[in-house]
Amino acid sequence: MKEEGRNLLVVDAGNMLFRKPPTSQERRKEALLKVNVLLRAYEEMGYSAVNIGEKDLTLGLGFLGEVARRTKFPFISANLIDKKSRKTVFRPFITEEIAGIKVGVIGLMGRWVNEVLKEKEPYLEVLDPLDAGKPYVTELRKTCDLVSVLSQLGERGDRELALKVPGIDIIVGGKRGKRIRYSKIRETLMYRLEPRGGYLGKLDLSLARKGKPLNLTDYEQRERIVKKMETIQKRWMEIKSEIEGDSGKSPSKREVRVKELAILERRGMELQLRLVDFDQRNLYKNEVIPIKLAIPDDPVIGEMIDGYGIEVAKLYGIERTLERGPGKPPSDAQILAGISKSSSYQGAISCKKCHRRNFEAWSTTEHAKATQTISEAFKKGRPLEDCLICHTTGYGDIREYRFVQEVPLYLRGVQCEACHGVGKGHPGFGAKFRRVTLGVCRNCHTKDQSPAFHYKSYLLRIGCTIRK
Amino acid sequence: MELKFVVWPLVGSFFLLTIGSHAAKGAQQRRDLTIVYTNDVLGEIEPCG
Repeated sequence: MKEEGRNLLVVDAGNMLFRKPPTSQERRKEALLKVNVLLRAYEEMGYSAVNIGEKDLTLGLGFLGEVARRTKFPFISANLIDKKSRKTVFRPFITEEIAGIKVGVIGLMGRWVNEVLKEKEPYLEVLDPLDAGKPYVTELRKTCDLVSVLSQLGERGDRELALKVPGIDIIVGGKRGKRIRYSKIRETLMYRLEPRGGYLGKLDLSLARKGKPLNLTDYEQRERIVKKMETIQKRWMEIKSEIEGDSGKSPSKREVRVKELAILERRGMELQLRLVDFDQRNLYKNEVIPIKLAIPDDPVIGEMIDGYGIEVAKLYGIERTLERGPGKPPSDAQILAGISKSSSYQGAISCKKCHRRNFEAWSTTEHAKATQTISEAFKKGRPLEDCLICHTTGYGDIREYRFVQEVPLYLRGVQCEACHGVGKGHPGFGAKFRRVTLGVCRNCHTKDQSPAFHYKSYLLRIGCTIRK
Repeated sequence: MELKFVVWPLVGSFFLLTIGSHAAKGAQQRRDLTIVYTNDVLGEIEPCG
């Protein structure tokens, strides 16, 4: 987007730094390394403001304060205050002028954070976001073309804010609730993304006038008019050439065609006028961009993440395999030798003994290669804990893998037992194989991670419908 | 934001305005801004995808 020369304002609605409190010294060190990468990457991407969420306070106010002092972008919160001074601890808002558009951005968090603060930071208080936010909105509304709120109030809180505090153009929300890509309450646009950084929101604004509030109109409405006009135009041209090319047509048929032309012209005129009206309006267009592994890393940020991977690998004593290359695939004997006697998982290699055809079909599927598909990151030794939950078999039962290297050979990929359940005792009176229902697939093929997922057609693709 | 305009082949046949000048005028007066946003990144630097 920067290369396209766009006028950018980059913001984050909060809960940026942590998911859960670190449970050991190693995890704390790892979390700090990760925070460092995040902050530097945010600076590199040119963030203008980051709202403070409850999870950003995981390591305490002292830590966050230190972070805020070190970073080029401000952390903001309009309702996190010092109980004694009654003043906000961080900047309540920022203003920025971009391409002649003055933008105000306010940060708000939910009052429930007071419960957390009671124990951890008793001298802090979170004020009612509506009461605290309203004066700032009023103040910014006087000087800014666009007033936006970065919120950690949750879906319901965002709605209440839009209803009770007039004058907000855009709310970018976080915290709880299912993903809502878009909703509009009165004149306020509200957006939120699925957690954990898998998506980037992009809201294009094209302003034709300065009046306040902006009364933004969906660009798609204009697009629909353009499409209609194109259809009319096509039909108009067809009829026109039909009339011109066939002068021998009966006068009555010709008359019908001419009448049709006139109708189309009138409709075209109406649409043109509507288009002119649209062009006096302020338009918006929202897009949600999935951040796939297939998208190449920015070289500078990629280097930061590689460096992080090296440091974390050292921290856990994990040998990096960056220089090793893919190597020779292991033999069946090698894989079988790795199955521990105490393991309830037996590996697809054990299933192969009786279900050879299924095994052979499965071994050509994406499921079989699931661990390999994240191999680029694996080669760089990055911890991939969250990816490995779905890209291996037995995660959590065998152990909570953090690196591909930790996954035993017999459990790499999404194997039979990942869907059918553990194999120890089968055949016989032990484990009964689980039928693979839609619910089983949905554990990993979520709507976000696998938007094209279709139960029946995907089942056919994994080779399990073949009887032995 | 790119605004697409319909250009009628027979300008003047029934449009009140000349599309070209309308487009140029509209484009000149507009101010564009892209807001890029994220939320609840939760310390994730390597999202699955």
